[in-house]
Amino acid sequence: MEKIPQETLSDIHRIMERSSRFRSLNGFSFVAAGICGLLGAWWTSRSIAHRKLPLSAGETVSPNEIRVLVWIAGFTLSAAVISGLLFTLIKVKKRNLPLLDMTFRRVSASFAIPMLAGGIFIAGVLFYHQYQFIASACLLFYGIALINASHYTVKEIYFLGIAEIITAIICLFAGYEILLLALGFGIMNMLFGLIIWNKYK
Amino acid sequence: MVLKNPIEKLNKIFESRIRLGVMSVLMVNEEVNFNDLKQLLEVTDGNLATHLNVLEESGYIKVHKSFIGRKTNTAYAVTRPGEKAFKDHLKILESMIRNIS
Repeated sequence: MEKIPQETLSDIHRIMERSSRFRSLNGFSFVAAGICGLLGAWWTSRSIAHRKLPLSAGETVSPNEIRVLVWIAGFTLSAAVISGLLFTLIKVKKRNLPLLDMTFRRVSASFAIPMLAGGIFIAGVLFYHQYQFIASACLLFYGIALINASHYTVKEIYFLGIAEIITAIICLFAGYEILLLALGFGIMNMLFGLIIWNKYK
Repeated sequence: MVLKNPIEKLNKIFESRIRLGVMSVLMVNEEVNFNDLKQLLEVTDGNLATHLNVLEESGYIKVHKSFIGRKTNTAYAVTRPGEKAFKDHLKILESMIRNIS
């Protein structure tokens, strides 16, 4: 054993850290996702400006209106995911690490599974015309996905997940859907992004 | 734990940096395949295979082969004795640090 024991122990610690958590998460990913969230909320508010909120249960909404809302949600989510991935992959590239390594695959799967479950659940909510649950379900499943992913990446996203779930519950009982969607997906993502960007730059 | 000459007690199997690296990865991950180990430890195929053989022969890791489509996937996991040996090794390293300072 040529190395001094301290060095060996710190090597062991470093390898354990590197193999269990995805460390290249970029704060700008969340800022970008937050901007998409805000734009999505603004777009949604424009498309339903003629409606009185909150919607009451069973209120009739035309299929066309729903189609527009689903398109907006789809666009917003895709834009957020793509821009989020982009900034994080740029950071991976800058640090000269392999692009799709084990930790990246794990964090993606742990995030994607609750998001997919949420997508299916929300499709069901639409199917049963229970529109008053859509906003809180979006926030809730996003929060759960973040908490799930926090096991495999920077620990701080656990707290963002908790904040999203609290927002979801407030939304469920208090309404203010558009406002809380803008807060949860827009402001909170952006703030959090700036915090971790500052911490891990 | 007072050891007169702890260096003699250090596990010879863990003298290699790569074997120690493999064990460190497997201690915090349930199962890791060959390519991921190679990527994490930044070693060549042949080099890694040799060290994995030593660890397997000593009973510290177990191999699990499966198919993903037509490709074989070889995954490695730590065994109970391996876990114990690794923890003992860490304890000795720590006691060496304490004795120095």
